[in-house]
Amino acid sequence: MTGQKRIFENASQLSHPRQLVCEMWADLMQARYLAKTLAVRDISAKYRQTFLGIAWVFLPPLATTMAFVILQKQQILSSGVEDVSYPVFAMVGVVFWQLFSESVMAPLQMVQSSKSLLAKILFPREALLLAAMYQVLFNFGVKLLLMTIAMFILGVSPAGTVIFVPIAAMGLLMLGFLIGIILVPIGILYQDVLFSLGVLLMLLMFLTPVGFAQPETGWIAEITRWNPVAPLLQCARDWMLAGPSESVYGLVWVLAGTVVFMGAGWVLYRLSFPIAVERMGN
Amino acid sequence: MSEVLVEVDGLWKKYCRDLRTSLSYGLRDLANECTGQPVGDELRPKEFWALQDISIELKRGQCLGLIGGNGAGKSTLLKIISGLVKPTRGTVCVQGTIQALIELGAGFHPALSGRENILINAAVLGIPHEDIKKKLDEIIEFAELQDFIDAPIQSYSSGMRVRLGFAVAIQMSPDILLIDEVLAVGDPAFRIKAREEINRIIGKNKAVVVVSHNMNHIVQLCDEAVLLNKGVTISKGPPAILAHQFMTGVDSTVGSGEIAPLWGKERQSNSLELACVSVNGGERRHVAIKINENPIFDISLSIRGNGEFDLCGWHILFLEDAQGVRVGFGVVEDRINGSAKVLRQLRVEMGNLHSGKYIVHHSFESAGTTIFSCRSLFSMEIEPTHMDATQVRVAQAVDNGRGTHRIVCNLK
Repeated sequence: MTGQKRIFENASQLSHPRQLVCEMWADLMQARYLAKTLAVRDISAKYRQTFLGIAWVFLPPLATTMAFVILQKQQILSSGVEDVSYPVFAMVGVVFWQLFSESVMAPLQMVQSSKSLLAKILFPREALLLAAMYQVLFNFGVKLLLMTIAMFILGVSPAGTVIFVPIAAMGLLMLGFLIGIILVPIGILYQDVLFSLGVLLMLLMFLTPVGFAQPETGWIAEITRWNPVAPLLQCARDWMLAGPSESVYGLVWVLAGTVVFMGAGWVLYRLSFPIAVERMGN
Repeated sequence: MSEVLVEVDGLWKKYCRDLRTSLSYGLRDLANECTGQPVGDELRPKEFWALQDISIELKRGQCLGLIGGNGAGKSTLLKIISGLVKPTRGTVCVQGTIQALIELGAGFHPALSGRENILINAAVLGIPHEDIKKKLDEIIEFAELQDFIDAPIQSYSSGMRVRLGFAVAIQMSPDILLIDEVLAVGDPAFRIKAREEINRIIGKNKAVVVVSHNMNHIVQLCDEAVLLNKGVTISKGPPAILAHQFMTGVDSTVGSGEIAPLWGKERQSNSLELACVSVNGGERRHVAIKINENPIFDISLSIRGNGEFDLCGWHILFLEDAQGVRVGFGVVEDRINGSAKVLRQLRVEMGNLHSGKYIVHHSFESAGTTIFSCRSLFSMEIEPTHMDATQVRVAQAVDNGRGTHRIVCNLK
């Protein structure tokens, strides 16, 4: 795609690290317009053949929230929430959890649906990641709007720390994308990854304080302590509904780790394409 | 000297026959790639060579045709040149921007309108948004979809979709253009238009690689060709000779080892020259034929040389229509030996011709060099009979679109 002299050979791209970094940056810059176009294509096409249209963005989190509320009302689930309206607590948890889970799924889904393009056309591969990110952000924006309306109806006003929520949201998005990008090289070869991802995320949702407060004791407490999603989600919810969060140190650690590993994930993502394209056929 | 834009040097590529094994090899290759190790260049169980020791050079302004049956390695070679997959051995050096005209309508979404899909397709192909906005009307007109452009493309026929895809793709302007089997799109009239458009692009001093199973396309568009079989280069040379070799399965070494310029573009001086030509026993160089006749021409060539000569090569005849488009060709092998002057007689049979004016050109090629050539060996006019005029027009359009003329040429 560039006018420079390029040499294609068997040697690993890592043997020319400087060239690799320059190409990654150039492709990222070039990918922005294509990513926007692909995101607009997918968003506008997705709801064009539906009766309920964009309502399909917020119906799933609404249904999950209702499920949590019913379980809590029937005392099947002990939420440990006392200070705030439980439906709002659960909805905030679900919306931020779905930001993370969609971020995990989106890169692989985008790559899988673009296989025929990848096999035949050399375009900046970063465009698929950016397009997936734009779609996740669009969905999150719609859900955030719904959440705000629900809070208004239920008379819950946001805490003063709400201005910090974008940090936690960005953390959830980046952590999800990091996991998603790392899964792409294997997921593009083996469909098992995509098949199992939905199931694993469902399981992880119940091991993350989405519909319940962080427990102090027990094995779930131990798991959530090591669950990198937990501090991000806790911070997002605390900053939105309560005030300063105790999980802020966890958030800093997770954010730092995510930033460090994001570069490595991006390199892995790029390295995998020539190998994967060989196995995509025509 | 023209700038070399693509240099393929000792290229080998391996693939795996078995899907599951291929996937596990993929994981190992990925692990190697991530640790900075090259992928092993020896065959592992269930692997085979898709390309073996391919070397090609492509200069600015050249059009190279890749000829070969299914599984010959043509598309694999294009994928490596375009950077989609890596070579196993050897190198590919590319200078300049490169685009592949392989997948028409890449990125199209069926639920969106033709107009929306033009913008998506252009973005995928890397055509700047401003350029495509300016050319939107031109693209719609070229695709002949003015009445349907705001309808979702799921309501289009497959022909309408490829027309739209082609109209967008030709807006690309790279230094190197790779074309893989996209010349046979749409209805016959559109195919003529598409071929003319490709001719126009080639004329813009680009380096072009064309893959097609239609030998007439290769002969019309390319000035050099490479014949591949099971990943191995069989020969390189003038497209007409290689196309003939491919179609007849002749295993010849003529032209091997070098790529020569095509007849008519650069005439080589040599000791042989064409002294005199006669058609059907007379000096008459214009023949009128009724459409329902299958004409046979006896051509006498008087060849003059200096002293003793002995040369093996190929007579190539091109049939050109009134628009200057090559619509057919014929090839016959010959050995010209003697001294001072020799006479050769060719019998040429042409079938499936339709009304119109044609010109036949001749050249004699040996070891990749044009020894002598004659533009306008003779001209002919195929006259319509009492047949319905509409029938004639349709037949001609179909024939031009498919480019199916084949001239059978024999030594008498």
